[in-house]
Amino acid sequence: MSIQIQDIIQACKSQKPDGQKILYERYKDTLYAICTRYLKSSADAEDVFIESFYKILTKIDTYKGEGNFEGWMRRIVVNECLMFLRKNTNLHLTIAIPETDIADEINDNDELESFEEIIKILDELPAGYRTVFNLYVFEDYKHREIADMLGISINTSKSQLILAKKRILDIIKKKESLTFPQFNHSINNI
Amino acid sequence: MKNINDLRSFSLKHRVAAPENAWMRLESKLENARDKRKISKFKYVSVAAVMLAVAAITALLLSQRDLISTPADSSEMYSLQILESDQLLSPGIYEIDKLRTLKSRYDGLSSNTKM
Repeated sequence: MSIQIQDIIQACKSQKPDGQKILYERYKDTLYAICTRYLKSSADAEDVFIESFYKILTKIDTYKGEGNFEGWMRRIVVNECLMFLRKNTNLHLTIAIPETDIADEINDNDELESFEEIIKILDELPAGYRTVFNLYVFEDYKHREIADMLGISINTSKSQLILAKKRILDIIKKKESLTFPQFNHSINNI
Repeated sequence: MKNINDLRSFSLKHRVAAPENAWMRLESKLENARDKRKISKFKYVSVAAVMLAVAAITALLLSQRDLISTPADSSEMYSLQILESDQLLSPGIYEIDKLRTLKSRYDGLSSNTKM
């Protein structure tokens, strides 16, 4: 019988080591996956993952039971990843495309590659593209929110996403031409 | 092929095996934090105890001083009252003594000059 999440949260709020261990075991792989999406180096991902989990366990008192608990933890992990990137990486978030071009380029119904393939390709993207792509596509943040989080303009956030998509497409094209030259992907429509 | 909304739902299920030693590192970090909290609690308690002890000693010393100084003060006051009452009863007594002293000195001086 699995323990209810509310009981685990309560145990963690009382700083009980058993409760902390159960919470860790339940969410470690989900939260570590987020770190690996934002950070190329596995050593960096591990450091940020530990720091994030430490923050979750020590700040759990601030979770008032409003909203989804997993969502609350994910936000902490994403914030920790962004803090790490800001400190240690040059995100090169300065390129902006004119707004008229952006309107034509962004469409949430655009077809992309399979999830696993995109995760692999993300490692090949520059930190700035990867970060904006992660925040917009996987974490469901709006461009306004991304702009606030990264200290950039909304236009820059939009342009980073477009460039990330284009880069993904280029990488896929290259891979296809090497393996299946006859195969034509619908990602070309982006 | 997936669109962005599909990718979002996939990302919620995305899992990567966390490193084996991560829990040990996290646990030691939590232990350190617990120890620090204990130390700071102990610090506060010991500071409070020291302050309490100082306050208690000060209070004790003050009360003892009061006990010692009360009879001395009353005796002083008592003697002062006697003096004052003497002065009221015979105000000229000190002047007579002074006059006597002056006279004897004067006599002494005059006998010296005669010689």
